[in-house]
Amino acid sequence: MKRYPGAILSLLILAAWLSEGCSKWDAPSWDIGVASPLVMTVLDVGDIIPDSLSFTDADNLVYVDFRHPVYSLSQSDLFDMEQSITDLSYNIPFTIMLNPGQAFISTLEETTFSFQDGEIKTIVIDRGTILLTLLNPLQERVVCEYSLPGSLRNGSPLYIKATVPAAAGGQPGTITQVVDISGYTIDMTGGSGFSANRILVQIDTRIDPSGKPVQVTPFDTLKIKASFDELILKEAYGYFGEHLIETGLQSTRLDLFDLVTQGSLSPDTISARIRLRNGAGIDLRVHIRELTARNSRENTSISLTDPFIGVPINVGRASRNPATGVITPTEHTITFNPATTKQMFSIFPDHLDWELDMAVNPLGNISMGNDFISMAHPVEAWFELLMPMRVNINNLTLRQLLDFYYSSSGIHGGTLYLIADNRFPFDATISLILLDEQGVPIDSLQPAGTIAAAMQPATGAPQHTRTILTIPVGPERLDALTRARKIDLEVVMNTVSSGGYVSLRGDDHMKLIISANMQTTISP
Amino acid sequence: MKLLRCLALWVVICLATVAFPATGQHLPVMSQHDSTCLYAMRGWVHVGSPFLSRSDYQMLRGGGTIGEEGINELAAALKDFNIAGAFYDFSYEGLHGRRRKGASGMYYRTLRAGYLSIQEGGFPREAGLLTLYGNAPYQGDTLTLGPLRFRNLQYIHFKPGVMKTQRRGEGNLYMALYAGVNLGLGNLSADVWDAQLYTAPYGEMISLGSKMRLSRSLSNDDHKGGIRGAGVGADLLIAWVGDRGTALALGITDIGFISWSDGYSYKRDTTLIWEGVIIDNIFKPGDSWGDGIQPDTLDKLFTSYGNRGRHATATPTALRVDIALPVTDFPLVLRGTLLHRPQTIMKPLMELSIDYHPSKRLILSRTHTFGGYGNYSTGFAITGRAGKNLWLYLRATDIYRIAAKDSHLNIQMQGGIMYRTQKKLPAP
Repeated sequence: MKRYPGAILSLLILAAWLSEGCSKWDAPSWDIGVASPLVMTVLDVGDIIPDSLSFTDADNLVYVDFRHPVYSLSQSDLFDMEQSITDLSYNIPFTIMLNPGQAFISTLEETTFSFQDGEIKTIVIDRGTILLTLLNPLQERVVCEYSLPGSLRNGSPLYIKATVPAAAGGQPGTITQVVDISGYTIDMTGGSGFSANRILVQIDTRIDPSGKPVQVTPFDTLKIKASFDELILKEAYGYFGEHLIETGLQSTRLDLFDLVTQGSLSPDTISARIRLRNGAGIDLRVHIRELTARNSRENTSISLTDPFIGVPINVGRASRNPATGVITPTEHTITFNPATTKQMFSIFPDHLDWELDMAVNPLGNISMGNDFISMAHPVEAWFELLMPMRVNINNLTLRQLLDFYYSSSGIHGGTLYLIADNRFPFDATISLILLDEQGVPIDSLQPAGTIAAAMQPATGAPQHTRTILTIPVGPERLDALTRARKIDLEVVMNTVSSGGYVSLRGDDHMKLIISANMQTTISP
Repeated sequence: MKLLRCLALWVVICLATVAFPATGQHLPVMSQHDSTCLYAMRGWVHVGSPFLSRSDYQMLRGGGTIGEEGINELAAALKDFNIAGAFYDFSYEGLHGRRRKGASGMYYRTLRAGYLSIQEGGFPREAGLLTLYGNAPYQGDTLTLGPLRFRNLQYIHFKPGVMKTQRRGEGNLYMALYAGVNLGLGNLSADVWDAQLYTAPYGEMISLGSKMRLSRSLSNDDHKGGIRGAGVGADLLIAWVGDRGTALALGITDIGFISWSDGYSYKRDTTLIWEGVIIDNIFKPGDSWGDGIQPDTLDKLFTSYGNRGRHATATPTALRVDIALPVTDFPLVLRGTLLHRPQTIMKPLMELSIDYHPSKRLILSRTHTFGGYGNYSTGFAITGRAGKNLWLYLRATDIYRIAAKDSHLNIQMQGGIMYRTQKKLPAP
C-alpha cells in the first residue's frame, strides 16, 4: 500500500465505477394518456341499396331501379326434343360368310318424333350432342357410318363413322360416341319434304377392311341406338301445339334490400309493373294466379290484390319478317296499384312468390304451321320497380363487421369515443358487439345517445352533423376490449319526423370513427 | 399509441444509456519515447446530458413506476432541445520500436485494436413531453417532434501502423499513421429533420408529417450478434514532446466507414395519416430493451417502407488536440485537451487539468471539463506507477458530485494500464 498508493486507489475507483456501470438496467415505467383512432367505417347509400340497383337524377336524388326476370318460357315447355333418333336391331336371315370390307347393312330410316299435337318442321341447334351406341355380335370389327341427310352445318350433313370392336368372351363389342351437333340445322319434314316431326337417318355397315372373313348367322343382332342429349335449340319452326303451362307456386329471390337487416320503409311514391315480353311466334293467354311480397327474415308477407290477379291476359305472338328473319316481340305491361305496391315494399321483401298459368296457342294452329321460337327473343316476364328514395323509415337496421385490434398491454381504463359525421337525413343509434378471434361475442357496447340527422339548410346541400358518443371503459371491460378482433356494428336509422318523408341523396353517408383515450403504463 | 412507445423508447435511450468508452491518450504512451516495447490498454467513458439531473437519471435507471411528480420533474427539466449520450472506447495498443543505426529517433511498428460504441440522442422539448404525458393532453394541437436524432453504433477496429520519432529542437517529434479495417457489430441511426404530429380533438385522427432518414444494419428477425459489416479506417497523429514536459499533439482518428452487408435504409419526406386504423399494426412495441438497444418499434417502418440491402455509414471521426505545459520550479503541469466528433451530436469536449506530482510514483490532477454530452464538470485524476515499467492511471470527473442529486449528469472517466520493456538502445 505504501509502495503503490496511486495504483491501488486507481483500481478501487475503477472497480466502483465498473460495478455501477455494469449493473443491470431496470426499465422504468410511467403512465401516459393515449388518444388514438381504432376503427373507421363509412356507411353510404350503397350500404342501404346496392349500387347496381340505384341511380341518381339531376338533383342527386336516389332512385331504386330494380328489374328482375321472374319467368322465362323454356323450349322444353313447348316440346321435348330429347327423344330417341335411332333404336334399331339388324339381323341377316341366313348364314353367310362376309369378307373384309364387305357391306352388309345399308338403310335409310325415317324417325318420327312425338310432340302431342305439335308439328315441328325445322330446328336449329345452339348446343347439344348425339349419343351414339353400337353393339357388334360378330367376331370381327364392324365399321358403321351414321348420318343425318336432312341436317346441315357449313354445307355438310352430320356424318359419324365408328369402328365397333369385335365381340369377345360371349359379349358383343360395344362403342359409345358423344358427337357435338352444335350449330346444325335439322330438317324435320322427312323424306317427302312435306311432313313434320320426322328426321331421316342413313346407316351403312361393313366388315372392317383390315379384318378377316367372318361368318354371320341369323342369331347375330347388330344394335344401333342414337338420341339427342342436352339439347338447346337456337330456333325452331312449325306448330308448337295447343297446351297449358302451369308453373305452380314459384319464388323469386329479391336482393333489393339484402343490406337491410330489419325495419320498415314507406316510400312517398313508387311504381311497379310486370312486363310480359313475347318473342315467340305463338299466342299466349296468361293468368297471374298469385303475387306475394315476402320478408323471409321476419316471416311477413303481403299479397297483391290488384284487379289483374286471376284475370286472363292475352299476349299476341311476335312477328317475323320472312325475308330478313327479323323478329319483333310483343309486349304487355301490367302496372301495379301504387297503394298496394307501397304496402308490399314497406316490409323490405326478399322474395316474390308467384304462380301463373299460360295457355299456348289457345286458338289452335291459326299460324298454319308458322310458329317459331328464337333463343334471342325469349318469352319472359320481368318484375320492374322504380322508387324515388323519398321515404320515411322506421328502425332501418344496417350491420357491418369491422376489424378491430387493441391489444396493447398496460391499459388501466379510459373512454372510447364514437364519432359520427352524419350526412344521412336520418337519426341513428349505434350498438357494438365485440367478437373474439373465433367470432364469439364477448361484450357489447351501447353508447348512450342518438346520432343526429344531417342539417338541411334552406338552400344548398345538406351539411353533415357531428355527434360524439362516449363509452366509458372500466377495468372490467379491458379484457374483452383487448381480446376483441372484430366489431359487429349495428346502426338503426329513423326518419326524424314520424310520418314525414325525407330524400336520400347520392352522396349521403355516415362516417363513423371509434377512437380511444386511454390511460396506459408504458415501459420502454 | 405505439408511436408514443417508439418515442418513449427513443427518448429514454437518449436519456439514460450507460457506457464505458475510451479514446486515444497518446501522450502518456508516447512520453515513454525511450521504450523499445510498450503495451497499453485504455478505456474512455463519457455519459452525459445537460438537462438530466443525477437524481432524474437515477430515477430512470432504477426502474419501477415513476409517479406523476417524477414525470413533472422530468418535464420541467426539458429544454428546447435536449441531448444525451454515452460514448465508450476500449482499445489496445502495442508498439515495438527500434532505433536504426545512426538515426536520431525511434521507429515503431504499432497495432491498434479496439471496440467503439456510441449511443446518443437528441430531441426537442415537445417530443419529450409527448413521451412523458402521451398525446392525450395535446388533442387538437400539433407537436413539433423534430429535429430528432438517434444513433447506436458499435464496431471494432484493427489498425496496424507505423510511428516514427525524430529529434526536433529540445524535444521529440512523433508522427504516426494507422490504417486497417473496421468490423461493424450493429447500427441503427435515425435523423428526423422535421416532424409534426397532430392529434385530432378526440383522437380520431393522427397525422405525422416528417422528413427522416433511417438506417438499420439488421434484418427484422435477426437480433443475434456477429459481424454485420466491414470497412476501412485510419488514424493520423503528430505530436511534439519537449524534454521538460511541454507537449502538443494533434490527431485525427476514426476516419473511415462501414459497409453493412444487410439491413434497411429508409428515407422519407411525407405525411402519414392514421384515421380509424390500428396503429399497432404499424408500430409494434419492442420487448428487447433488456437485450440492448433494438427498438423493434422502428422495425415496422423499416420493413414497411425501407429498402433492404447493403448500405454504408461513416465512422465518427475525432479531431483531437492535447497540450501539456509544465510550471517552472513547481511539480505542476497544466494540461488541456480538445476533442470534437463533428458527425455526432456531442458538443466539442474540452478538458483542462492541473497535474501535481507529489512523488515519482504518483500524479494527482484536478480536472475541469466543458462540453461533450454535458455542460461543465470537475473532478480528479490519479496516475500511479506500480513498478519500474508498469503504470496505472484513472481520470474521473464529477466524482465528488455523485451525491449532488440536482447536478446534471456528466460522467467522464479514463482508465488505463501500460507496461513497457526497455533494453539498451544503440546510441543515436
